[in-house]
Amino acid sequence: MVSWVGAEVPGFLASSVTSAIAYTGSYALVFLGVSHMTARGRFSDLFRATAPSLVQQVPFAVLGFFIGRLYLELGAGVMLLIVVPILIAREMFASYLRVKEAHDETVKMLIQALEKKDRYTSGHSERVAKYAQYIGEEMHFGPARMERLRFAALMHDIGKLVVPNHLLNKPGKLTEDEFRRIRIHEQVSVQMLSNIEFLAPIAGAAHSDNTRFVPDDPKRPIEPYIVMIADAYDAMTSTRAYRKALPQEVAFQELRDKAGVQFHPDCVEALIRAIERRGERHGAGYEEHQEFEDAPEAGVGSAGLGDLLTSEA
Amino acid sequence: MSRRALVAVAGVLGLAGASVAHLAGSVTAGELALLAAGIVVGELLVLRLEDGSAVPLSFAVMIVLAASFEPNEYVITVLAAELTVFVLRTGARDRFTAEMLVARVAVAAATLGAYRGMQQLLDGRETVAATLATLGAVALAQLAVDLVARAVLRLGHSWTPRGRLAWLAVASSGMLMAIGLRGVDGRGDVGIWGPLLFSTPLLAAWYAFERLDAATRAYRQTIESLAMAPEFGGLVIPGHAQRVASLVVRLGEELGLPRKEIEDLEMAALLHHLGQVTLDDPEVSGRPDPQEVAGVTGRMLREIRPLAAAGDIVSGEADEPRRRLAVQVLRVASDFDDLTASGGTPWLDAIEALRSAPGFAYERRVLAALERVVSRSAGS
Repeated sequence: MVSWVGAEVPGFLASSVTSAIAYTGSYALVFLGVSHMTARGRFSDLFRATAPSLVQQVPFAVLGFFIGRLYLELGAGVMLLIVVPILIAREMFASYLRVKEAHDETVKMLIQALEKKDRYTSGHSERVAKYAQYIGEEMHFGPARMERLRFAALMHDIGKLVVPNHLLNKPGKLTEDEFRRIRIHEQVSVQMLSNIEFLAPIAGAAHSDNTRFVPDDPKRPIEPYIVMIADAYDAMTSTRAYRKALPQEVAFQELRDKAGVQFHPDCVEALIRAIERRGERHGAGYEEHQEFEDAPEAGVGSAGLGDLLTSEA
Repeated sequence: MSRRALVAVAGVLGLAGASVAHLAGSVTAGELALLAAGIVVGELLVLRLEDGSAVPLSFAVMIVLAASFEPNEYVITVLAAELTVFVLRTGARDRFTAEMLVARVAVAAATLGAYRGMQQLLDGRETVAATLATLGAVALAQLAVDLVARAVLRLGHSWTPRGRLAWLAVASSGMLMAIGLRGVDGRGDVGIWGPLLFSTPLLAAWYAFERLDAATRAYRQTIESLAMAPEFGGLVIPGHAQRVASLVVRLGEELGLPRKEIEDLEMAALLHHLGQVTLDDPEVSGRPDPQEVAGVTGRMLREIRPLAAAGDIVSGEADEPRRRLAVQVLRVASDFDDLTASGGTPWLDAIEALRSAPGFAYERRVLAALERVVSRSAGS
């Protein structure tokens, strides 16, 4: 049997690395070729999506060569030592996915149950999360950032839990005092999101003071702006206690008119682009719930934006 | 400096030290420099467990060092690396305390002692079986001493379900890394490349542990945050959910409930008033009936698969005896907190009040456990 001591090991390492790259390269060619033919996606998109996992294969392929040598020299018993940590890593990753799924389901279902409190906004948080994700995708957010954005959007109105039902469902204008009581929900939302470590950096997304566009402030995270625009768009395109839904074109125009003043212009364009590309229609005539016939026509324009954003009084 | 930056600095310094030593003609010094960096990195990258404690990857590097170097080289390298971590991490958020340093030194001593002991016992025999037995004994000695040191120094117990897997991953990787460096009777050794390459599965495990820990914390914090909604709305007294949650955990442990049941009970305690926010406002229709709150909350939670068991406990609908006990525990803990926190009743009187409730409303066993748990925390 060959001894590996001294100069032979770097030689073996060099040949393993070369072989690993050759292996991964040929695998990538076959895999991408077949996927391209069957999925009919753009080759560059496909490559961008799979490149990271392909690169990750290289060190594991190198490891494979060394394990092979170890097996030849010391027998199968030693192999158990490498299988154990790999199985444990797999088991922990499976647990991670289970917890993540439970978290997801819990938040989604709880929000759904709690939204029943306000009959005009049922499904609102999920739609805001959907629009926020559209914008995130247009801006090429990574998976972790996307996840954080989605949860922040889902929970942006969580503070409404503390607002009495009769105020939330009051048709028509609110008095100054009622409006003040409703505004508290934003502070509560921020406080509740700040208690969750991974959402804390963008907890401001739940407060209108932090979501009004401030040009040239690179220190501000963009997520609060995204949530605000998604929130405003859904508010305009669905019927509320104080007014009926607006047509999609009016909503787009409203977003564009206020871009650079109230809204982050890039986010506005990203949302409109994403919705148009998908051919989706929202707003008057396309609403999920048609039962709120009694809502007043009042409040057209920006006054009713972003659900309770500004006082109409 | 952040943990990531420290890991990078340790890696670069280790490589630089190894290169200098190599140029100066000392292969051993170069390997020791890299392994010292390995211990520092192994103290920064830890496998986090359920109770907030952690198993460091440095234990694997200790096995490598003990199996391949002279005792004096081992002692100097391990001590230098651990002291470096102690100095660097005393002020940081993930503190490396003096107690932890003591525990590590104890484990390091056990590692070396066990290796030397096994060498003598096996008379220096060099077969694959003898090597595996020696390294396995070293890993076991590490585990035993670590458990004792944690217990003595009150560092949290690592013998949890996750802790067992963490220890197994570190031990098996350490053994493999050691075999990669030293080989068996001149076979299979790949020098310093061994520990470097064979640590990749352990690093993959570390990554999975990190993700699991982050996800578990995020889930828990979300529940805790939602649990505060009724407080913010002025529907319950501040801190009620948190206090009841911590009390039910202690009661569950006192009554010997299984771990899963205690977890469900804790979720139930945190969320048991949540449904109240969907009911009509107290200022409009008066204070809601507690039964109604429990019913609404229970129905809401039962719709959510991961919280279904907690929903059963809150609504009080339980068929199994164990679940019935959990329902009792939650009722006792919640009513006890109502009496003591908002009513200002002294705890002994509160227990007495629960005991003399009409119609034997509370199970004696749970009240007895409550008395033991509360008197213990009042005494300490």
